[in-house]
Parts: sequence; structure tokens; C-alpha cells
Amino acid sequence: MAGSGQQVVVVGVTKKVSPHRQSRNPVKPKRPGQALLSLSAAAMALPAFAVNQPTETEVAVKSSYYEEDPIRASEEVVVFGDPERYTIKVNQFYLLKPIGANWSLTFDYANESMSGASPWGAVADDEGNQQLIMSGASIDDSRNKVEGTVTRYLPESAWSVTLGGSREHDYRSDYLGLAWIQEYNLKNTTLAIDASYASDELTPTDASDFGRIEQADKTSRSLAISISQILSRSQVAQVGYGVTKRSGFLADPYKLRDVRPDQRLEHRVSLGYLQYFEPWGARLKAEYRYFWDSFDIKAHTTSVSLFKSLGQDWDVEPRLRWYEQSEASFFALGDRYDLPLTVAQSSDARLSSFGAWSTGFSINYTRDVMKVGLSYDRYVSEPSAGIGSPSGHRALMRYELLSLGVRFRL
Amino acid sequence: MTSKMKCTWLFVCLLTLAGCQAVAPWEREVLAKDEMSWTSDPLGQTLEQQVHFSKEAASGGLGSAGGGCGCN
Amino acid sequence: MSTSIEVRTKKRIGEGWLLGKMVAFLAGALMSASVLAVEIGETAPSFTIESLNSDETVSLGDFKGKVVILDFWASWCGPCLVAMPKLSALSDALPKERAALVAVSVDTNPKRALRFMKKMGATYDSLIDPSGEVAAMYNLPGMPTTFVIDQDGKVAARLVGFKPGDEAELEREVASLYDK
Repeated sequence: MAGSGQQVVVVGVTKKVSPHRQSRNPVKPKRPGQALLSLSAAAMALPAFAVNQPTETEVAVKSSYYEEDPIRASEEVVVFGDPERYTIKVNQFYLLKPIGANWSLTFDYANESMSGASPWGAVADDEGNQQLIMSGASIDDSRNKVEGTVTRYLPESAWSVTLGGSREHDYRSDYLGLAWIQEYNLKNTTLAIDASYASDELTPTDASDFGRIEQADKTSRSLAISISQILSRSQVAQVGYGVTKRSGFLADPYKLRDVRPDQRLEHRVSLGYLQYFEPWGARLKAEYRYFWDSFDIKAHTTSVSLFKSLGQDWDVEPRLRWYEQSEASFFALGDRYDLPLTVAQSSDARLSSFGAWSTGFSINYTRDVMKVGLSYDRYVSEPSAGIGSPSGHRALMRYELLSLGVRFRL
Repeated sequence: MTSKMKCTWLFVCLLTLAGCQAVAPWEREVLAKDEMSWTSDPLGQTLEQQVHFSKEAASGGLGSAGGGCGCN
Repeated sequence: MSTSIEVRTKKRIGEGWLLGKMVAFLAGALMSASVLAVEIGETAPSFTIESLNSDETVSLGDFKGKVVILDFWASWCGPCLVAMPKLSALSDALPKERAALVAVSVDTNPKRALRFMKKMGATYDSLIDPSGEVAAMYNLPGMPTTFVIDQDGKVAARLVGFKPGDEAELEREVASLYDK
């Protein structure tokens, strides 16, 4: 942490930022193993990945617009660079097709294009007031992700294999996932085991100009187990545990000073509950996750959503999410140039202590084989609402996400 | 609460779940509804999880297996 | 002294509750094992229920002397809806004096069941079992479940689930019973 009479050096970047230079897109795999999340999310999010083969072909497309609030553009907060944050457009395509009597195939494609600025570094005075050094100008970048899953269905079980990859000009990620589901107790109890492996390669742009590493690798390995139990005709509960090991270059190569351990072990325990209220045509979903890792970060995530039918064709789903985390053991509010490069430190806001509220809703219209949905979410970070003492980071995120999607079941 | 007590409670909870009266195959009308699945919007969930992953230190979570119509 | 008694009592209750849950679990497991599904060779349980498509009530006994395809389905069951056009073709091809298709919907909302039959173009009528009593009598192992019942009311075959091609198997099974 800054203080103790250290000499603080402000790095002024004078070289013009060229287009396609930096890829600080929050929605793309710049963070270690982010592609692994895509894999995990997609593989585990497949509605067809139940033990039963889907009976219909499903096609879905979705377009989303994401915009971050700008950082307060005062000299007190931004000492250099563009206070404007990211805007991202995402287009997604999804296909699920039953094949024969016992197989199904899923194909998933996403394209993201982004522009904006993000923090390169930070300085902090003795009172713990932080000032940010932002990237110099708006950056444009794009990412493409492709993923395919093959599922084989057996009488009371199913297994699947997923292969995927994502590409952008300075980042490559390839991943493999295996999953197994087994049903017990007249299909009232379901056990699911997922294993995945991701291999990423970073080739930061303008590496020699800015003294960055020219090439680095990292790998992620994950294992998760979950049990879902039907409690009654209208209630389901789920409990799960997952572990992830990340190895290799885990730092952010675009930060002015960011040194992280070359291993990270993460754990998560999750609980979920679904309840349907027949008289009202409404469904409550509640989920909780406790996360802890070898960076000393702990986090609680709680989310609640309420689904409500409005007549035969319409439905709405308001939702609420609360997140809080503690800071990493090596988090530094201001970059420490007095420390050698062998000592871990990072001023990355995502490793600081903060809390965040997210509110949103979806509204859907279903007619025959088609369903159209619009959703909106607002995410607001609160630096003082994290676990433990507040870190006081000033680049915490606030954003809006708007999506429009269409799904066909044929 | 000691770790031994925590383990006992977890075991009891799991037993309680397993001891629930099984819902018969013909009684799964409500469970078969789209909204009673853990993920009725795979694209939306993928996007949401990616966005959160890029903002927050924590990641991962529940799978989506279980419940549903249980049809053969 | 009263504190130690409370502690002992709580511990006893805690242990009793744990034991009770274990017994409930075992009882549940045993109970579900003891009520077996109707197996091949057994007499198909008789029932009388209402028609979905008219005001009639229909009994299984009305079909004695004919081979019966007894199909349990629901509008919320994907494979059931896939089966419907195929069962329609099968039903149309059955010799009416020797065989019959008897469909029973377990939907709790008869209007919804009727709507789906019309949407899927079903050419046969269905009965309705909204309380699930008949389904429970047969203790269906899955959805859908189709029984082939011979002229004497005994179960000759049972099909759990429905995949394309199963209709041909049903047709073969029914035809094999004509010469009995």
C-alpha cells in the first residue's frame, strides 16, 4: 500500500496510442482464464444438457450493448489519460440440434467489438487518496469466440464434450470441457461433474515500446461437482463445489506495474433454490456463492429473481444481485515502484475490496415457435461496501447492459 | 460452530434432501416449465457471467443440471 | 444443573431428528421400491375416466377382446408431443374391430391438453387423468409410457419414452397379438 514516505513516480505516457493497440475489453479474455469461464458458463448453461435428449431444434440470436460510466473527469481522480470507459457491442448466435435418437449438437458463436479506455496504473498519497493513470486514447478492438458441444444421452445419464476457442489480435484461448450427468431416485436427484482445461497465449501489442512481455502463456484447470434435488412438485434445490487452478502469467501485461503469483487456486461453494407459486404463475430463484482463493480474496454473491407470467404470451423477470469481495493480499492502491519485480503487487480495481449492486429485468413475448426478449441491467460498485477495510479504488465499475434476443424452437 | 458440527449439518442436510418424497414422473408438470430450469437463457447467462468475470475477482458457480420434466 | 439437562435434552432431540431423517430416507427408498410399475404379464389395472374430447366416460374394460395400446402422455412432455403424429398414423392404420389406441393425458389442465392435441394434429381422442390416479395405479416409470395390452387384459409389452421408430415396434407388437 502507498505511504510510509515512499517516493512515488508518475509515469507520463507521451507516445500516441495506435488503434487496435490495447484490448482492455471487460467482456473478453484479457483476464486469466476468462475463456474458461465462457466454457464453463456455456457448457453448464445448456438447457439441453439434461439427461434427456431435446426434442426440438433451438436457434437463438442476441445483440447486446454495454456502456460503462465515465470516471469523474477531475484532476483529483485522473492524473493522465481518457476518463471515458468502455462501450462494447456483442452479437451472439446459438444452435442446439438433436441428432438421431441419442445425440445432440450445440454450436455457439460470439463476436464483440469494443472501444474505450481503462486504467494503466495508479498512484496514491499518504492519506490513501488514489489517482488514476488511464490509457491515452480510445482503443478499438474485437474478439471472436466459437464453441461446439456434442452430447450423448443414455437411459439415466448423459455425457458431453466441448471444444472452443477465442481469438483477438493479442490474445488466443483454446479450451476443452468434459461433463457427466447421472440421475438417481426416479430422476429426482441429479449429480453433475464437469472438468475443463484452457490454454491461453498473450502477445501484448507494442511490447517493446512499453517494456511489456512479448509473449506469455497460462493454463486453467477446473473441476466442479453439483447435486440437484427435487424437493416437491414445485421446488428444486442445488448445491455445488468447484475448484480452479490457474498457472502461468496471471498479471495484466498492459498495467504499468502489475506483478502476480504464477499460481492461483480458487474454490467456490454454491447453493441454489427454485420455487414455483402455482396460484400466481410466478417463480422465485435464489442463488448464493461463497468464493475464496490463494490471493486471499473472499467473496459473497447473492442473487434473487422473480419470474411472472402475464397472460399466455408475456412474462417479466425482475432481478437483484449483491456482490462483495475482500482485497487480494498483494493489492496496492498506488503502484509501488520501490518494490522489486519479484514482489507481487497490483493496483487493479478488480483485486480491491468493494461491493456491487446489480438490478435488472427481462421482458419476453412468446408466440408459437418464437420468443423475443429484451433485458436491461444496471451494475453499480460501492468501494466502501466490500469485505474488510475499503480499498478506496476510484476506477470501480458502473455500467449498463441492454440486450435484445430472439429464440426459435422448431 | 466447530468444523465437526458443520460437517454433521451438511450431512444431515444432504440426507434430508435424499429423504424427500420422490416426485413421480407424471407429477412433473410444474418442474417441466422453462422458468423452472436453472438456465432458461443460455446466451444471456453466458454474457452476464463474462461481464461479471471481467469486473470481479470471483468466478464460476452452479451448473444447470437437474429438475425439468424428466421425460424419457 | 438445569442447563446441563437442557443440553442433554437438545442433544437427544438432535440425535433423534437425525435418526428420524435417516429412517425417513430408508423408508422412502423402500417405499418407492415396493410400489412397482405394472410389468409384462400382469393384468392391466382397470379404470374409468372422462374423455378429453367429449362428455363420455370410458373404461379399459370397454376394449376387452381387442389389443389395446395404452399411451400415457402430457402436453409438457417433449417426447410425448413428438410421438403424437406417429401415434396418429398408427391409430389410423389399426383395424378398429381388433385393436384400439387409448391415450390418457395426465395434464392437470384439460384445456391445455386439448389445445396441444389440436396443435399436433392428433387424429385420435384422449382420456384425461388430471388427479394422476390412473397414472399412480400403473406407477408409470417415466413419461411417456405406453403399454400394449392383449385381448385378455394382460400387459404384453411396455415402452418407456419415445424415439422415432418406436411406432414401428408398437405396430409389430400389436400385430403379433392378433393371432393369439
